[in-house]
Amino acid sequence: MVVLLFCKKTTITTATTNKNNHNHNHNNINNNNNNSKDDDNQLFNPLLELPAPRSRSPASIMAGTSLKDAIKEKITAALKENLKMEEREFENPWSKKDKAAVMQETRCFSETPLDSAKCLELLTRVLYLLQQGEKFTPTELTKLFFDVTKLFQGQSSRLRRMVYLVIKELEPSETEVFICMSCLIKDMNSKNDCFRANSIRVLAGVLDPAMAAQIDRYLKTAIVDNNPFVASSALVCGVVLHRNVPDVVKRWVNEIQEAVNSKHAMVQLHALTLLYELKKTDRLALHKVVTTLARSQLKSPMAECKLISYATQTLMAERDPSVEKTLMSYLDSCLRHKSEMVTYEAARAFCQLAAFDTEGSGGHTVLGFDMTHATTILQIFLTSPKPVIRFGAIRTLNMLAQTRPQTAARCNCDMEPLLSDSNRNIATLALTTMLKTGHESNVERLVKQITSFMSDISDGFKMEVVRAVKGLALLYPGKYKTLMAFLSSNLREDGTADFKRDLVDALIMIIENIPAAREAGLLHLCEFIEDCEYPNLCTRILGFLGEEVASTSLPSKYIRFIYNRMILENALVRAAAVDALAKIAMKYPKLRQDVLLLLQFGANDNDDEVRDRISLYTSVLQQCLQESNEQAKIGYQALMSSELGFSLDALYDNLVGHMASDAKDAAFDFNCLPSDEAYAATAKAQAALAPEKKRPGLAPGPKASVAETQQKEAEQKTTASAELARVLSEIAGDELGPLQHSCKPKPLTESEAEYTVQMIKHQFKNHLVLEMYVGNTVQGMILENIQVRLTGLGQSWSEVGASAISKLEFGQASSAHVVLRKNGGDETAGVVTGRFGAALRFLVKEDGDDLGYEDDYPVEHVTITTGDFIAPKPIQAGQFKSVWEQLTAQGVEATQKLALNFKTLEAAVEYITTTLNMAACDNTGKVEMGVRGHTLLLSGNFLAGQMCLVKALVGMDPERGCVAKISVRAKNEAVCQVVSSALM
Amino acid sequence: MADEGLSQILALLVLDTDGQRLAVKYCSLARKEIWPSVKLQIAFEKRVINKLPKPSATRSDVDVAVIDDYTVIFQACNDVVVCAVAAFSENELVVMQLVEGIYNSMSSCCQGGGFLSSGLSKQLVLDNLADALFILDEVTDDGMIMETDEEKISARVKMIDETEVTQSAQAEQMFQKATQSAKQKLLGSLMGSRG
Repeated sequence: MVVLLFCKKTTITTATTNKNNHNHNHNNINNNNNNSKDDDNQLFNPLLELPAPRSRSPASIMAGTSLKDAIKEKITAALKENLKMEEREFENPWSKKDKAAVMQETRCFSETPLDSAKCLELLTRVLYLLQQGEKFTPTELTKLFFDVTKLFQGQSSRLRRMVYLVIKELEPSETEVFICMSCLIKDMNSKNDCFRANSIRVLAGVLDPAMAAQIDRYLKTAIVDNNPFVASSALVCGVVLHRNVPDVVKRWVNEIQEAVNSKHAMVQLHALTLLYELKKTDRLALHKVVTTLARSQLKSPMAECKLISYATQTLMAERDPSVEKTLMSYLDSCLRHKSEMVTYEAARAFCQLAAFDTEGSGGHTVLGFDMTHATTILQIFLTSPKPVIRFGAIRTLNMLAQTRPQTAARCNCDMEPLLSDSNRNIATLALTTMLKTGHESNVERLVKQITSFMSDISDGFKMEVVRAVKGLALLYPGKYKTLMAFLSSNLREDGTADFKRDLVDALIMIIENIPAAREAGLLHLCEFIEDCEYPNLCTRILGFLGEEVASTSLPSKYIRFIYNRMILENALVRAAAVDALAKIAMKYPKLRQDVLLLLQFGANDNDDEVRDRISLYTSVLQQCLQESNEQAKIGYQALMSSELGFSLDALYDNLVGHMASDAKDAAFDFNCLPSDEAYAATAKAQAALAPEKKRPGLAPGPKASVAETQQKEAEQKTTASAELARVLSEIAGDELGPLQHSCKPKPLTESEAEYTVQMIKHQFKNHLVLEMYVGNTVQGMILENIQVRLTGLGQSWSEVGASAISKLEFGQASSAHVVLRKNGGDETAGVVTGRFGAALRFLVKEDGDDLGYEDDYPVEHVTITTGDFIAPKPIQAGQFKSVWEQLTAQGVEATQKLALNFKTLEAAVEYITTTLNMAACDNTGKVEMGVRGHTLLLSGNFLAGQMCLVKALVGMDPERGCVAKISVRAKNEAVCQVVSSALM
Repeated sequence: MADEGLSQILALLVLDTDGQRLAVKYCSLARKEIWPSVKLQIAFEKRVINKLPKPSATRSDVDVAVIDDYTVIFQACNDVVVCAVAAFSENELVVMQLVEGIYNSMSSCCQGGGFLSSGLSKQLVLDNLADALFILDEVTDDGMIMETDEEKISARVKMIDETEVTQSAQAEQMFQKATQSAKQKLLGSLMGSRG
């Protein structure tokens, strides 16, 4: 066998290369020879005597001489040709002639007889030049166009094909089009279907809308033509025409409907597209079209995809139960379609709807339909050999993971192999998806994987990774070390300013949210500014350090880093460093002497601003260091605060007013300026009044109003916290300590009352601040000196101080504060409950009335419950159990049994959730219909950030009514006790 | 999923591996709003070529990349890359079918039947530029997919009635394919691919 094979091989070599034949042969023998020697096997000896290859066994020669010779010849010829092809240098056949030469040659268009080949070549050249960006002047284009229209005389269909294409590319103006119109219309009536289809397509591109009516009839019949090319062309022409002359196209509806049921796949798609375009402005008609088609079976997968996307849009546009069921079961049935394209589109639709349907979030249902099947399809696609399919699947899962990480997490096992996918896009998407769905246990491994990635992915993706890491850090505070190390190691790598900014943002956010990470994180930031090329990032970090360093265990550790900036950087950063040092000195008196010394070193800085700041701060510090100088200390605080106490916009407006008024020689009074918040409220009220007057009948849609209130809340929050800090430092000074937690605003009046009052409770370690947010809705009334009066404080509370609202005009809203001190509460982890009466006292002035009168305005009682000391903190679905178990080891548990006075389980669950002010986990906030018992899982943050979990078993007992067993777990025993007894 | 669900395919690009244009087609939306000048278009094409992995084998699978927030689905062969650029919300599988359609019809149009030819190349595309341009014109119209079936595209390029073609040509093509594969098999065995 070996001998035979060997022979064959050598023959081929002879035949194909015709050279080196001998050498090759020789080598082969030698090789075999060596082998035989090595093996010391005598069996191969005959090979040595093997003669030249030609002397093969006679039989084989007899069988195939003629055939072999023929093949031999053919192969040599083919190979030679092939070799020649490779030898041939690349040459661009179109690069030789320029525009001028082409324009010259267009003469051949008018020659008779027409040389079609030449014309074709010339037109191709024109297209090539156009495509390469060659500029033709308008006159040249016009001339070219007119010349080309002469070619309609030609008989060659290939030339005609080219003429169609060139006309489309030349985009003739309306004044020129008429030249070719008659030719095109003639072609539209031709017997050749290709001519018809092409002329329709050209018309679609160049038609003057005014002429549309002329060809309306032709197009209408073309839509239902038997030839799919003609029908598709007419439909696509319809889509284009619909933009300009919708009325004409609307008349074709019956024909289009018919075309939707065409037996040709592409005709279906185009008819569906056009139908949707026609109906998309009419909601009801569109619903009808989509639902009817959803019930019928389309043949073309592409049309099916289109319909799925239309159905999804319809479902997302509004919640209409009448169509929801039909469309959802249609989508569900598409998941079982035999075409991959369709199942993928349906799975994608489910994922899009999952993001949209926030009610079912956390669960595996979308608008009441199970989406497991959809994720299973994506999971199968993840393992497809085709990169495009893998990409589509992982991209869709990535989108899903943004809203429902635990649903996407089902596919984790198939995502892991994609981390090493040869397509970088797929690998990166897999990574970011896994970061979102990741479990605590594999965080380290993932982070290790990313590190290997970071060098060769785009900045956009890098930022996405950073965002995902940030999310992970918040989700798993325990892993901050790994994650922070990752962030800071990336800070050291090269990157754009945006990327670095995101990294710094992420670090700052981790420091702010995870107390344990603080000191390490601050050091990471310090290291970064040692070698940071972006001054604006440096100043940002210095500002942050100035705020944070003073409250660390060893502030002096950070001073060196800041001082280094002051001597090494440019003026911008130096100034920021000076600020940071001064701020630390203010907050941490022990360092004042040292900081003063450091500042004095920089007193000769060559930048004016830096020098000014230094001299200002040194003089203030010197005064502060004189023990007795109390006023300096207060001044120091005001100096370091960035709060203005009034609105800048108001300052601007009032200054403009002041300059225009007669009193412009008098000094401007800053005290009359409203705060930022108040000013914004007035402006808003005025703005809101204007449009509302115009259309009183129209109530704003529910969606808009939700967005509005959300926005308002957000605005309130930001301005409120700054305002609060200012007010509180006025009332109580430093005594309060950091804010532990603010409750949600609770109205103390009816929302339509004359003066609306909302109460926000701010919790501090030993204090409680009640913020009364008062709004004036009575036109022509001005409230002045609004004060809050509390009655019945009792033993456990005492009032420390209060702030009043000096003036509240119509449409304005502002806050008055009362600071209360807790008496006791040490055994109850700081929880002190209470209930007291509250009233506002103010001076009411009507417009034009100078004196006004005092008035009392009682509002609802203020109650302080255990729930006010807790902030709801949702745990990621499915994680409750593990956190609960964790607290078994590290925490304590308290249980309490109680009877509740409720008739239904829903009411009881609702009561427990709101009273404790905790977040329901794992979808246990909803009670299923018809059950007799329910387990409610709650989680919350107790005051200073202690995790607190509650498991409540609620049941309906036929004899005793509603009963509950509450188990509370937290790290602190007092917390457990307080929370468990909160419901009694 | 933009409501302007019409422009599915923003651009079709046939480029060489240096990013030079061989044949391109932009839909009107892309030409007027997204890349409103040839300069911007060429800059985008350069970005595309720089981002795509360098083709290693003579013929590669259809692959995908994300460039400037657009999905680019491409198939490369020798020194030619055929791409379709679609909005990010587009169904990738639909676009893939389109790219396969373009690629296959281009290969069969430009190849001239030489069974030793090693697939699409820059030279072949330029030598048959008219056909390449026709193919791009046939597969989409103003961003809408017109046809993805190789046979129908080829018939339309040649201005032959496709309904007849599909029947008569099918037999012919079957025969051609059979002989082609027979040729290749024979050649393969002779060249010693088994030895």
